[in-house]
Amino acid sequence: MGKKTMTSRERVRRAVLLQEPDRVPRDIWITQDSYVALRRELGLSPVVSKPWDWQNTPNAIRPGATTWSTDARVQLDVAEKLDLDIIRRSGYPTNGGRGFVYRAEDELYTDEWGVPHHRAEFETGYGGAHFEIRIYPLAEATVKDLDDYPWPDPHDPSFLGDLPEDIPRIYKDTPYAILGQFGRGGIYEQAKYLRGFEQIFIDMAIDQEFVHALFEKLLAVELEMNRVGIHAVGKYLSILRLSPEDLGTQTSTLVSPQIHEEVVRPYYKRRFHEVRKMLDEVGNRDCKIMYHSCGAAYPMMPGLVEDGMEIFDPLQPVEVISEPWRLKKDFGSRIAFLGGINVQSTLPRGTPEDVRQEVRQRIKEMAPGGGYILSPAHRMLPDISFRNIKAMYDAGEEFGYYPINL
Amino acid sequence: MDDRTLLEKLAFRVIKGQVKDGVALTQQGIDQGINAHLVINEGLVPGMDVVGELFRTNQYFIPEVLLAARTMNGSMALLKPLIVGSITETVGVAVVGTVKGDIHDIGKNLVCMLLEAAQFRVHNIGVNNTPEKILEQAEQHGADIVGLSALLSVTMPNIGKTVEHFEKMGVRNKYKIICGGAPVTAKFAKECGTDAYGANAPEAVKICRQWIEDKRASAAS
Repeated sequence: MGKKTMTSRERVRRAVLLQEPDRVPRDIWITQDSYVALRRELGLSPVVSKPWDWQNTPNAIRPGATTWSTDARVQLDVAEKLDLDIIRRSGYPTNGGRGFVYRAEDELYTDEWGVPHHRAEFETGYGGAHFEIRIYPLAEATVKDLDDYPWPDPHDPSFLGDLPEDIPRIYKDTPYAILGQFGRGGIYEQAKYLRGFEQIFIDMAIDQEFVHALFEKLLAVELEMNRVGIHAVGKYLSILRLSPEDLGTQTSTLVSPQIHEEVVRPYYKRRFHEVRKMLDEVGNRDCKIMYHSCGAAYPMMPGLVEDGMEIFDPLQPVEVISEPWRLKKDFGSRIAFLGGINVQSTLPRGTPEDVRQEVRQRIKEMAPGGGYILSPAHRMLPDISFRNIKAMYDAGEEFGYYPINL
Repeated sequence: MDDRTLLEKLAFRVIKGQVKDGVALTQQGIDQGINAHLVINEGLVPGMDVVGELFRTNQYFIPEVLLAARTMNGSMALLKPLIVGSITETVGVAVVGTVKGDIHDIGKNLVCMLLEAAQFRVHNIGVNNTPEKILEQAEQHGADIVGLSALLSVTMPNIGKTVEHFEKMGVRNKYKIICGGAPVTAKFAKECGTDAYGANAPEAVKICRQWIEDKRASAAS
């Protein structure tokens, strides 16, 4: 075992600057259900704070990274127990902080974008639930309708909530690096939720005028959310995560590289550029911009890197073209990576030894030269046992010290 | 335009996803007296076969497949009334749904579209289906094939639970069961007792077609 010689913040700073820190930095991404269990396993006090308890309170405040997600707001005691290096914080829903407005009569949960969701229990014995869209409010909209749509207001005081006190406190009183995310929807991703998955893909092929009009609106909201967040607390961040967007399926990209190039990329490029400017305005040049895409997104990677992506997450270990080693080989001299430990098979279904071997493999592939943060390849759902979570971080301790000789 | 040229052009419209032109061409074919079965089997289906192959090889993506399916469906809407009463050439019957606890359906809907294009009679039973409901639908529609989908690692065990329910009720052997979805693997599909794993939509259709051919061959012998 090696020895730590840096604070968490310095460790993360080195890693994202593509320099070798003392040890591979560690992060967590976990749902509220799993988080409740994790705290219990770690012997920490249960989550009782009502405002966060969305499970039992339909209108509870939702600190998740997207409107519908059930991500936990991880507390400092967990970071300490698991020896994490990063604390994630996100802007809150702009509709009074509640995220969902629940209507008992049709059991629909409407989010801050006006999208009604249904709550589905996983019903596999693990507990937990997932929110999925029931109605796409812009399914039949025209360009003209977009002007009248009630877009989220980033100046709603609930959007920042306690972040202006919480983030400086973490910065001053703890050694942790802070990963902040203010966008709550994104461009391409939120377009799918508003327009519907099939219709937006049809639009991208045959009605690009509508897509451009919608993307303009969504880019404006995304940028304003980032402006509000960065001007308030941006100077404390080590990583700024843009609204997560998904470009890939398990085996391919969702749309062709040509359509992406024509329709999606110009908005991404403007977003990277504008957010970089905002970080510069608050004097935080060390803060790196992280972009999230699930799936096999390899064909879009050169454009993302060229336009300003500095960290790529969640580094899903998909087996077709976008394998982590290939991304490291082709882009590792320009960007860092966060994630990489398989949440589809190894973490939920593997043994602790399988998890250990995967972490070893990922560190071997990704960590040399810096530029890698150990984290699950997506939010951890309740089917991942504590044994395997522990195995992941134990292996990070076993194999993660520099120089990496695996 | 002679019949052969029209059918070739129709296949091309499907491949290019030109909905309006494709549907207009189908109407023209009907007007000039081409048999509806011929329009389907030598115009639309060969077109969708090419689309499936282009999708499987990452040359086509979701928008292109959706547009091709819309062209096919628009044409089928004109053709269906003409084949009612005559012996329809349905390849087989499939009941396809997302398992209990899971409400993701993009992949499953793509499978349904491609199965329909391959002339299966498809009952897309939607999302969040209990094992009981899936069995009931399979029985009710006289399915040959049951397709099960899951996107989440937490819900994929419900594929196995559905298979178990079919076994418990003593009807497992009546059906071929295929499954798929992002976290699902061939190994998992086997472990939970399904007959096959569809790595992607065209692959799933290929397997289903093979099953029906085998079934017919064994019935004939």
